[in-house]
Amino acid sequence: MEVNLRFTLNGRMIHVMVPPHWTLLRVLRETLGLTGTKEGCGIGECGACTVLMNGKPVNACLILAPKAEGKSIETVEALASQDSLHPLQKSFIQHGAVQCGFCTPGILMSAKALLEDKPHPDKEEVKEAISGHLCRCTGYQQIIEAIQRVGEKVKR
Amino acid sequence: MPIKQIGIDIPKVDANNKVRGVAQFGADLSVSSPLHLKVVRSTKHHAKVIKIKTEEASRVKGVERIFTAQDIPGKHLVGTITKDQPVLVSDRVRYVGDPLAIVAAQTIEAAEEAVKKVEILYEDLPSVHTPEEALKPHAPLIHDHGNLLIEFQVVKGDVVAGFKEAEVIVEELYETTWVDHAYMEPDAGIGFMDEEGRVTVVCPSQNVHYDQKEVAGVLSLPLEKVRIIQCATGGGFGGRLDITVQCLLALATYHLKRPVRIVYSREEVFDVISKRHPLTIRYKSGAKKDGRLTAIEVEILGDTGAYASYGATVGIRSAVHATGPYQVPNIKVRSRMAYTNNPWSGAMRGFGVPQIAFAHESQMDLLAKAIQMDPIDFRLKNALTIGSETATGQSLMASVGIGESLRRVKTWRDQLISVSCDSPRPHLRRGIGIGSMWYGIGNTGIANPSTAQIEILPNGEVRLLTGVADIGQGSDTVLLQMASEALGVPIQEIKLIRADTAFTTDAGATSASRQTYISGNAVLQAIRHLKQEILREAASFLQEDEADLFVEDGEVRHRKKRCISLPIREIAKRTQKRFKGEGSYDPETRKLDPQTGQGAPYATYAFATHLAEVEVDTETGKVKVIRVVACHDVGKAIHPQNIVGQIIGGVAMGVGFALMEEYIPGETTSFVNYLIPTSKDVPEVIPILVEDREPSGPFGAKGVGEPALIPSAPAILNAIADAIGERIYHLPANLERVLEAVKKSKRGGKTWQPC
Amino acid sequence: MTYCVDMILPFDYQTPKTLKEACRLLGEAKGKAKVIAGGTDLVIRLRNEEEKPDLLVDVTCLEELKGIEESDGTLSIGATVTHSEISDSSIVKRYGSVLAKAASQIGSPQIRNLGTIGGNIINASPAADTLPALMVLNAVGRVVSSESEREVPVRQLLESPYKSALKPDELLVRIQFKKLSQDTCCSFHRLARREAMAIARMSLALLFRMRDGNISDFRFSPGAVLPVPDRLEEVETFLEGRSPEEDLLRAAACKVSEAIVKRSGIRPSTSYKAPVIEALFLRAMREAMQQCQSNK
Repeated sequence: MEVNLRFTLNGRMIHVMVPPHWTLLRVLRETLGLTGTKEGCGIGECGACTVLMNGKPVNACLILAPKAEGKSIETVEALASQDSLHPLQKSFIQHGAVQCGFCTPGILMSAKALLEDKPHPDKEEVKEAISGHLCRCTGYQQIIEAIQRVGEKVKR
Repeated sequence: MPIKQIGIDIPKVDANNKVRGVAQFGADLSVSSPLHLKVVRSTKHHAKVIKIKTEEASRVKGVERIFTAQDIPGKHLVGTITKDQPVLVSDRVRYVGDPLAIVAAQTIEAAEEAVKKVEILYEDLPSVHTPEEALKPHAPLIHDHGNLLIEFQVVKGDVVAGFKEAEVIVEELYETTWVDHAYMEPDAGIGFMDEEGRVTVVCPSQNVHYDQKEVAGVLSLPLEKVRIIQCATGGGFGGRLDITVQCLLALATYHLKRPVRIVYSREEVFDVISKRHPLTIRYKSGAKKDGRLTAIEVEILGDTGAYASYGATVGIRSAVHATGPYQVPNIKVRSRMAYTNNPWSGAMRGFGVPQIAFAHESQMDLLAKAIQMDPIDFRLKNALTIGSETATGQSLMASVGIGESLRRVKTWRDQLISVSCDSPRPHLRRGIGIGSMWYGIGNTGIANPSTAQIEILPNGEVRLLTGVADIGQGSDTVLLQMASEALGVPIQEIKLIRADTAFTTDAGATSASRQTYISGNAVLQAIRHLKQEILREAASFLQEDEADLFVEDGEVRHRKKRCISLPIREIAKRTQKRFKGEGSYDPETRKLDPQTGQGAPYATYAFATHLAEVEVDTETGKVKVIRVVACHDVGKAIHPQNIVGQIIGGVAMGVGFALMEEYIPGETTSFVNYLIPTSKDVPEVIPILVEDREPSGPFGAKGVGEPALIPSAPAILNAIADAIGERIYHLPANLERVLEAVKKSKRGGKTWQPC
Repeated sequence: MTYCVDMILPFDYQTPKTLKEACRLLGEAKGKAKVIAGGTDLVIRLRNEEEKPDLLVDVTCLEELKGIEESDGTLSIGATVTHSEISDSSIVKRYGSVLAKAASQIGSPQIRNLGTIGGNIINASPAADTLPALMVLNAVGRVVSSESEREVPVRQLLESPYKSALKPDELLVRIQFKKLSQDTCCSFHRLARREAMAIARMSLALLFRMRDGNISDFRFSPGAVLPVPDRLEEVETFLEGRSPEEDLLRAAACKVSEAIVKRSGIRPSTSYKAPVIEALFLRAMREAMQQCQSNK
């Protein structure tokens, strides 16, 4: 059995036929070829598959495909425009927040949701916002700085 | 304008693709209609394999082929040092997870279903699960050559006399456990026949040239018929130094002659990838009341699990580093690694040094307390300096920054201690601890060369070719910085070709904190050779005496005629010639004597001291690491921000090692119960760089990858002891162990309260 | 041994638009269907093949299961309300702060954005974070099927570890509890091996009011120490109507660990858990009493 699925993906309406037992993560990666969203654990414990659903960060590995029906889904691929990076992406590069880069797309999505909700988060708010992501390389400090600095720039 | 690329924070060259999500990791690689591979694995600790029945599995719709050991045309065993690990087991399994067969199917679902239907007939063998048991006389043999993988000693001076001279002696037993690398990207990759008919594997790796040799051996193919390409690699930390998916992909590709793909689940990674060696360390040390260390006697026993992997390296390295960064005149260290039927232990960030550092730094605090000396002053009194002789009898000639790191941290410590105030929460106790370390850069007393090439093509394109695998730590960026600086060509104008055996030559492993130092030197030598070639050509092209010409800022210039200055790329264009510089570097070491462990195992050492400030909840055993001041002697910081990143990440891993990480076979099979620190568990890290230039290093640099981790756990454990007045000897210091220690503590912790 | 990568066995999937249709689907499936709301627990169980349903009934489109509603004396929370919605809700913070606090500490932000209160109850984990809070709130679940409709105290919704007491055709629709009066003092504590994304090692919720210097209407429920979360009545009775002197609280703390050992037996973890739950209990009591003082 396959289900007819319509949802907004990175601002564009899409329509796919997928088996209902596939996760949104699998649909994004296999059906739609968007491999920026990663699978690190498959059980919602690492955050590498984080996407925004109706603006909120969620684990795409825990969402069965039919749940995307009618929703707005944003992935890391939506951040940069043709000719320029999103301020968060620039800030991650500038602050050395990227090492192996596997957790990066997911964290960027949580950071985007945070800044849309709270443009000037304090350090504890940033820590809380990315607490659903495991990063083994960076120790998070440069990531936290990168996110906070974007907030500060918006302020100015 | 001269280019200045050293010591500045340029954007990491791999970061742009990574923030956009377009960098391709193992599971992101696309290849046309691949077959999906799944591995059938042992469910037994130790058993004879009587039969592998694949008939029913073969009938699953979509299954193309099932491979067993019989399908291996060449060598069946792989391993970095001792080749004892089967690609596919034919005779007996030695741990739960040993691979027995590979299913290749059109869909993942079919492969998965077939795996369930492969039936293995076993005959159980008695299994052994501790190294102590494994070394008993009649223990079941895990390998025919016996259960003792390695025994190694470092002997110097006279320990009996040393302990006689000592006025205080401390002896304790330290234990550490298995730790998982927990790199974020599960192993994955693709295999295919490339356009030149090579069996090609693309996957995450820390050493493509090692992979190539193993795959060629397994397939009985000449090296040039095998190609390994490293894709974007989601961390390594030593876990990808061994073979992971390479041979599986290659074997299937070899037989099927069509693309194949494999993706491990996180559970599979936990079960079948190497772990940090659990070590049991009996450590005895003696000192005079004036603070001088007189002797150490150390006995190390490690569990290497079912296969050798890097067990020998861990055995030797932990012994060589057993003194810590201190001068000790009388030394006796014995280190043994035993096989068991546990998951195999291998390389993990530090090769046994994080474990031994936990022991030597606990000892240093215990001794300091016994002689009532400030722990930093005590360390300073014994710290290695220029001219010191190490445990292996090596004289240190330069770049010994341990003293400086201790002095810098002492300033911080004194500030922190002066701040004290009352707290309404009497169950919280604060403590401060120090941890120091030394770490030899590169492999231990054996050759570990790197090679590199730099080319200028007739169209003026500059290419740097290196076999170095960047696993996120930033070697691509750092090697380009060095090339740019040495050649005088902007980084953006140098094309990097990397970690593809078809184009690059062996740079050795991304391990032992060696790539900046060793491959950096290889790159610099390649550039020196390239410059010579260019000058020779330029001399004839310009009709000038070669001796009058030199290269500066990317131009050939004349010592006397200032009007002559020609960009080096112009020379390639005008002469329509291709220039190539070959470089290689092998650090100068002296082999360790097999009886005494004496020699010069490393050309240079990194040094560091961490200070940890913790808050212990004496009612729950919960430890919060508030702050870590991390001071590292890196020789020269090529890219300070990268180094800071290594340090902060190392501290985070150290927090995990100290407080929560404990792999229990069969139990901690996912991130639900194998816990690594989150953003809310890590302390504020204050990195301090000491640049005590290493004369043999590229621009004076050494290495920092592993040193970043090593002192953290010792500092945290010493801080806990400072806070509660009782010491924990068994890692991790989890809730239960801390509470147990609080109960034992006579004074119930110290009275100094948090703010 | 098999390992799956983001792979789940097939099933049918229905997203009914009415409660009636949902009940019909569940009734017709005769136990072969599972209800899915947020999916944060169920999808993992599906992945691990611990559940192999023929049909999933997605209840997140049902109006009856949505929203947080306030009536005269009651707060009613739809079963599909997420942990984020609960922890952000000003009404829940005001009239059931112990629940808002419990919900705010679950898993991670991503999990809280998906996971629902109904799911947390029905999953029946001994370490479920909202259960101790719901227990002390005397929360009641409204359960419907095609045939019947009943109101069940939360404790009675749980049968055994990881097994709810719902019949296969029943659906948890809403959770209701009486609004706490503003003089209620409450506390929720949680201890885990890590500060985020970690199962509770222990948790507890308690609440009471002070009447003429004495503890009144005392309610207490510990988490992750009993096979099935519950109130500890022996402790509640012990403290009821008494003045909260330090000695009494210490005696009550001993009762807490005694009661837990009585129900769960001595386990390898007891030597750790017993003293720690006592300490957490005392902390929670002191915190709640401070609240009482500032309420005055």
